[in-house]
Amino acid sequence: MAIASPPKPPKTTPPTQRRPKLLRNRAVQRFFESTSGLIGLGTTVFLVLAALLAPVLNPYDAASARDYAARLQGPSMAHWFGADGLGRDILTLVWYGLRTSLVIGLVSVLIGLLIGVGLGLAAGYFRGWVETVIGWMTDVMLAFPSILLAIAVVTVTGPSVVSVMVAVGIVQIPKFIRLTRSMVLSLREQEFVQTVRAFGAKAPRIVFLHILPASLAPLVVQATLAIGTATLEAAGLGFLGLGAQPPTPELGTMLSDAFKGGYSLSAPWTIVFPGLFITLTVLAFNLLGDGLRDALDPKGSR
Amino acid sequence: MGRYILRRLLQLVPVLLGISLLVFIFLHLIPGDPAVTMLGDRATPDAVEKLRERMGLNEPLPLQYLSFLGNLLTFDLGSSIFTGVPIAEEIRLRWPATFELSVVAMLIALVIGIPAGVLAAVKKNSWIDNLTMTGSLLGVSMPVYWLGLLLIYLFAVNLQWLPPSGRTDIGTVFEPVTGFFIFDSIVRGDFSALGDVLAHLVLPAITLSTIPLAIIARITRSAMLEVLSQDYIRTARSKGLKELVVISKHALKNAMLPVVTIVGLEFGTLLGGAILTETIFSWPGIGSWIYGGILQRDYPVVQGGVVFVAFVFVLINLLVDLSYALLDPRIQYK
Repeated sequence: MAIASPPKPPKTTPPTQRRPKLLRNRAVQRFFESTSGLIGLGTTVFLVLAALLAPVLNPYDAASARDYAARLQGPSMAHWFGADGLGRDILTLVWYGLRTSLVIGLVSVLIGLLIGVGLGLAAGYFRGWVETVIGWMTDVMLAFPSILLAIAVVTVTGPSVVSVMVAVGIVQIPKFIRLTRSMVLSLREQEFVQTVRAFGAKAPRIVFLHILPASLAPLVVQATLAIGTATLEAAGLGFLGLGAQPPTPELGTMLSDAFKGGYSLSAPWTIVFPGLFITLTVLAFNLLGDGLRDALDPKGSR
Repeated sequence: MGRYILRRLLQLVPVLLGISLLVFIFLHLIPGDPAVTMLGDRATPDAVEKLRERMGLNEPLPLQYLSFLGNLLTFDLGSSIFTGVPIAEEIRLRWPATFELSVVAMLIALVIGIPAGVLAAVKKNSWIDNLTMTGSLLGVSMPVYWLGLLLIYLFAVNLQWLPPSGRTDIGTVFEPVTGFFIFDSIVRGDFSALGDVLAHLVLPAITLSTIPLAIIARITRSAMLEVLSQDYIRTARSKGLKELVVISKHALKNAMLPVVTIVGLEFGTLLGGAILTETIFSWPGIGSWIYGGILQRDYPVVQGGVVFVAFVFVLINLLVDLSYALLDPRIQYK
């Protein structure tokens, strides 16, 4: 006897899975509605592509190509951005310098993010003396104006690109500790965390599987904005002669060369273009960060 | 209030100890033997050993830290390796230059930043708002020393309106009283010197003020927007008060609280930014001195300068916290 099989229930995703997707879509939508976010994204993509393609598209070798006849010449068809005191093509230097600066910015924020989030999670979750000690470390680090702390670190490690990454990375740590700790403090008392804890979940599981994912949005925003600050600080160290050493091209170091060489004012193109690209990079990440905040953390944006 | 001040002072102790510990650790991590650095590479091992003994470098580390701490408390920060001038003496001479520059920069930031922020909030989404916010974004994105160089190029080299460097013209005969040149020239009634001092301040102060200016405008705007949306503002408006009174008497006062905090924090940025700005403008303050120390690897200068600036920063933040408690009595009871 054939019985008509009951109609299969329509395939619906359970509500718990549906909500995040909806939220995500709304976040994407909000991001694309944010003008600053779009401009920031566009500029960032442009700068990153330019940096990646430098060796493919650029006619000159950054380190060795020198045209002594063109020394301190202004912008021309042969050298669009002019030439520096050693007859190097400034466009090439800026282009490769952008690579260095972007890598420094990214790596240093990564350093700050990993250490800062780790310590922040520990401080917020375990409380007690762990929190006291980490809080004290944060206070002490924040007592130094950031560029000074970075200078102190580089005097120990010696000037180099890696030193700059470490120095600027260390400077970023306290900001991430504070942010993460405050996120954890508010999350650990929330019902979903209490529930997981009631089911007997151990601390690492609660922290890494439940609290950390829930604090990602503000961290992503903060990290993006931090790339801008880090780039600025790294360029500042470069300007003080503590950054990349020759022949590695770096934007801050280019400004330093022009300033120390005494031709920054007689040949202004030696400073205009490197500075412009530092500003553009920082601006791009600031705008992108603002856009991401509008999208991911609407309450935090004002 | 007395108890609050006491509590804040006690809270300072661990932070100050931490700063000294961190600097001590940095001093000891710097590669190379300080005694060798001071005597040069050709010094005999015997001489190096004697100097090590005299500098206390052979003592166990905790003892060295204690004596370092004792030196700090008596303002004995050592001397420059190159000039032999005591660090404390150098700081005493240079601090007024940095402080004067920072204060003027902060004044510029406040005088422009607060009205700009208020205007942007009151005329939200208008062209004024957009202009302020764009300007503020540019301000925090530009390297200050780059802006400084551009300003020198434009106003000192091309237009020749303002001097490019230093605190006074070389020809200006000036006998400093306090080292704060604005104050000194007013006290002496020497107005041509005052004009000279002010002219020299314009470019470096504008340069140094960009970041705080941008941030103050931003914070003022957002604080103002928050306050303007509150009920008591609606009440004030519905009472028939003029908009100007509502904004200046009712809203601004409460909106200023976060601005005060920021001013304290931004003083740190100023002191840090002073290193770069003073270098550009050959400003004879703490910043250009630290820069010189970096170039010459004169570590006592770098460390002394860093410790000093960090201590000043902590003290300024203490003062800000205390004034905050005066402005907002709720703070004291937390």
